Formats: sequence, C-alpha cells, structure tokens
Amino acid sequence: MSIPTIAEAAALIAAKKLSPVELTQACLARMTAMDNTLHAFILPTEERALSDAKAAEAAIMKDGPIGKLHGIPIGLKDIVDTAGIPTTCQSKILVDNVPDSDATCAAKLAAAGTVLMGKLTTHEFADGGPSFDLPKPPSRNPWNPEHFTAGSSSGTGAAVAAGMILCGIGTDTGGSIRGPAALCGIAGMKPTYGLVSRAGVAPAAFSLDHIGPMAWTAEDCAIMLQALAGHDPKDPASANRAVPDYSALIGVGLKGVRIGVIRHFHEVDHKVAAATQAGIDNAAATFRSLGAEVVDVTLSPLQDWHACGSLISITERASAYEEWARTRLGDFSERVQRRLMLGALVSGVDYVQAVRRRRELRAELKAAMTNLDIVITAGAPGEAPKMDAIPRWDVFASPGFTMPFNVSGYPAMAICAGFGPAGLPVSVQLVGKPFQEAKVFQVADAFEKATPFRAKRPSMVG
Amino acid sequence: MPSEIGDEALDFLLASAGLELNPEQKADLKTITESLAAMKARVRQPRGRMAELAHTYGFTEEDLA
Repeated sequence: MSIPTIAEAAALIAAKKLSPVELTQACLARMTAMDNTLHAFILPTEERALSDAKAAEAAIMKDGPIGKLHGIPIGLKDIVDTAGIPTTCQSKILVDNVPDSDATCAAKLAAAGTVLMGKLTTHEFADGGPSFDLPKPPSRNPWNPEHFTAGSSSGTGAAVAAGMILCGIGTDTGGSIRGPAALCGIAGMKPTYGLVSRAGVAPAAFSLDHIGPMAWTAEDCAIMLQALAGHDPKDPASANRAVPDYSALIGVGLKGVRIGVIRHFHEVDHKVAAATQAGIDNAAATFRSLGAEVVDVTLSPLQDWHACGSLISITERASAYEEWARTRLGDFSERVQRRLMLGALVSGVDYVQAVRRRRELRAELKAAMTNLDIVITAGAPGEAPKMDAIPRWDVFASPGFTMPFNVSGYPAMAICAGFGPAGLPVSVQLVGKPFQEAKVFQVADAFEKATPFRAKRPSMVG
Repeated sequence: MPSEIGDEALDFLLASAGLELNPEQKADLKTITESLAAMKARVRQPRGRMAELAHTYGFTEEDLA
C-alpha cells in the first residue's frame, strides 16, 4: 500500500474503501522494516494500535467516521503523558514512569478516534541532542540515516517521513517541531502560544513551549490541529477563544494574500546554504505566480531574537529541573547537563531583561505585519547535517531561524521547499499572525500543490 | 556579566545554584562565558525604567470565577 495523506485516507475510510486495520497493518509493516535503523519509536504499541484500529473499524462500519482522524495511525512524542503507557522523556530519571492519566493533547487525539502506534523518540526532556548516552538511541533521518533529524521531536519527524504514522505530536520551545519537519521533509506547525494545551506534557521552558501537529502536508496538519485546539483550564496559558475551521482556506489560492520576506534573517544574519536560498526564492516566486503580493520586511537581527529566547529558555529550564539538577545531575545526558549548568550563569536580572526585550521584539513583529498576512524565512540553514556534526554547545553556534516565533508566540510552520545536493530536504518557514493558523495553512497548501515536492518519499520507504 | 569568569566566582555561582560539577565540566562551562555575555548584551537595549516585561500578571476568568 502506498502511503496516503490523512485527507486521502479519511476520504477512503469514509467511503469504506480503506479499512483502518489495513492502514494500521501497513504502518506496522513499515515500522518493522525500518525502525531498527531509524529508531523513531521509543516504545511501539502494536497491540494498542491493532485494538484501536479494530475498534475504529467497527464504529465506522456501524455509524460512519466521527471525523477525519477516525482510524488514522498516529504517534506521540515521549514527553506526552499516556495513561498506563510508559512516558520516559527519553531520560534515565523517568525510565520507570507510567502516568495515570493522558495529557490533554493525547486525550483529544484518542477522542478523535486515532490509532496509537507508540511513543516517539525525543531528545531528553525535549532538550539537546543527538545524545548517545540515553536509554534509547537517537532517531535517524529516513532520507539518509547517517544524518540528523534535528530535534527535539526527532522521532515524529522520522516516523512521518517514513510513513510509519500519518501524523504525530511534536513540541516546540525553540524550533523542535519546525526543525525536524525541515530536515525530514515534512510539514510541522507550531501554533500560536496557548492554542494547544500543554497540560500533561513535560515542560522545557514554560513561556516558550508549544504543542503542535506534524504530518506529510499542510492540509493534514490543519486536520490534526482541529482536534488539538481549544481552551483547557488545566493549562494556565491556554487561550479561551472559539476554535475556527483550520481547513477553511485550503485550496482557496493566494490571490490578494500579502507576504513579507525577512530576507536579512537568512541572507545576512545567518546565511543559508545555496539550496535553501533557492528554495526560499522559489517559494516567493511561486507565491507571486499564484497571485500573492510579495515584499521584503526588516526586523531586528536574528541574533537578538535568538539571545532573547535562549536566555529565557536556559532560565526557565533550569527552574523546571532544578531539583534533579541538584540531586541527579549525572543521570542526565551530557548535553542536557551542559544546558542545566548554564542556568547558574544567568542571573534573575538577565532573565528579566530578556523578558523586557521580548516585549519589544513582539511589538516590532506586530508592527511589521500590520499590512501583511504572512512572513517567510528559512526553516533550517540547509540540508540535515551528519549525526556527528552537531556542536557541543549548539545554542551558541549560530542563531536559529525558528526561535523568533517562540519568542513572539506567533504561529509558524516549516514545509518542504525542495532538495539539496545531498538529496536531503530543504525548507521554508511561514509565519502568521496570532490565531491565524488557517491563513498559514492556506499559503503552505498552495505552495505544496503548486510544486512537486510532496510526491517524493525517502528511497528507503520504497 | 564579564566575558571571562574566575575560578572563585564560578564556584560561588555553582554553589548558589546547588550544582556540583567536576573540573572538566567547570572548564567546559568557562569556554562559553564570552558567548553568554554577548547574549546578555543583546537583551540590554536602551529603555526607560518603566519598560514592562512581556508577560505581566493579570487576573484570568478562572481566577475570578
């Protein structure tokens, strides 16, 4: 069986031309064939998957599907609590942790009738990586297993690209949805801060943490976000707003859409590889050809956004994990130990200055987007690097393209923009105004449908 | 923060944080103090004392229920 998108599978399931059990078995077969190489799963849940699939099939045969996710195989990043199923956060510290309740996002996906294929590989507590001193090995890139997936939602990126699941949960504190989406050639949406509940998900940095969908296409991310969004009193940052139809603008086209290119981010502040530059230029040209207006836009240097987000992240993480850092530091991976050590060198005044800077930067982005619907820049600097090429202190190596939109809380999405000389994907990042995810999906979907990149899967998938 | 940090100052900060590091970890940490100082400089823009934080405390609907 070829790998369908969620939209395709949902239509076939609704027409009773595709069985959720057959779909699940095909995903399990890919898992069996590839996961010894890719390590996308920390814990596969085959029995649960088949049980969920049979239940979905019986319900659909009786009453029809309850929605587009009914009978769809998914995975959950292993920092998402699952009742009765180990949630280790890929850490020695929680290797025996079995939550007694589901995280809100896990419960919502279960209520939508999804099929749980397992818990997906993550960097330890969604930080650092790749690390080789953890309970399980790091995930590898399906386009070339010698290369990195990025992280921390590394298993989700690999599993979606390899067709082991049709979508999965990612979390994003500085780019952990969009980085793996970019390097694995899939679509990943970091929604507006507060749109998806963080309740029951291990924190990385409270004010930067986002939960969101990762799938093969923007349209599939819209379908998944529909099930995830909504107010949750268990999350103190949860936005109390009506949930719109995130697929409402899919297929509408781009006539009249106004798009800004933050050119200095990827051409000056952190110059990207030629293939990524070509991908962004092609995206801008494609948007114009589809009727959008495209202009350049200027913000503060990328380094300012990165510094602001990094100082906040270092401090909030050190706060969340202070007790274990004091008592069990040696039980963390070397990479996470280094991140936690940094907390000792950032003062309370440093943190507050970063949060004051955050207010200024967010106001700057708001003003820059007054007459724009979307801004774009790179999703990653180039193709995926090799697994052994990640700097020890990567937070200081170069400013990330994704952090500005954790700092601002604006919705941001990485999609595939082509392929580089090594045959690995390159990406473009699309950013919308707060709670305007549907507009981001509209633009991303138009690009995907106007270009050939969604027709190509990693060669190991067959 | 200065771009370099002495052993005594580092030991004080680590002790304040309750962290026990070995000599290799301390040496490793000292390699990034310059980069960290640069980050701290970037968030210190000219601004008056009245400039607020990004997130300030406010009562939510749940608080008032």
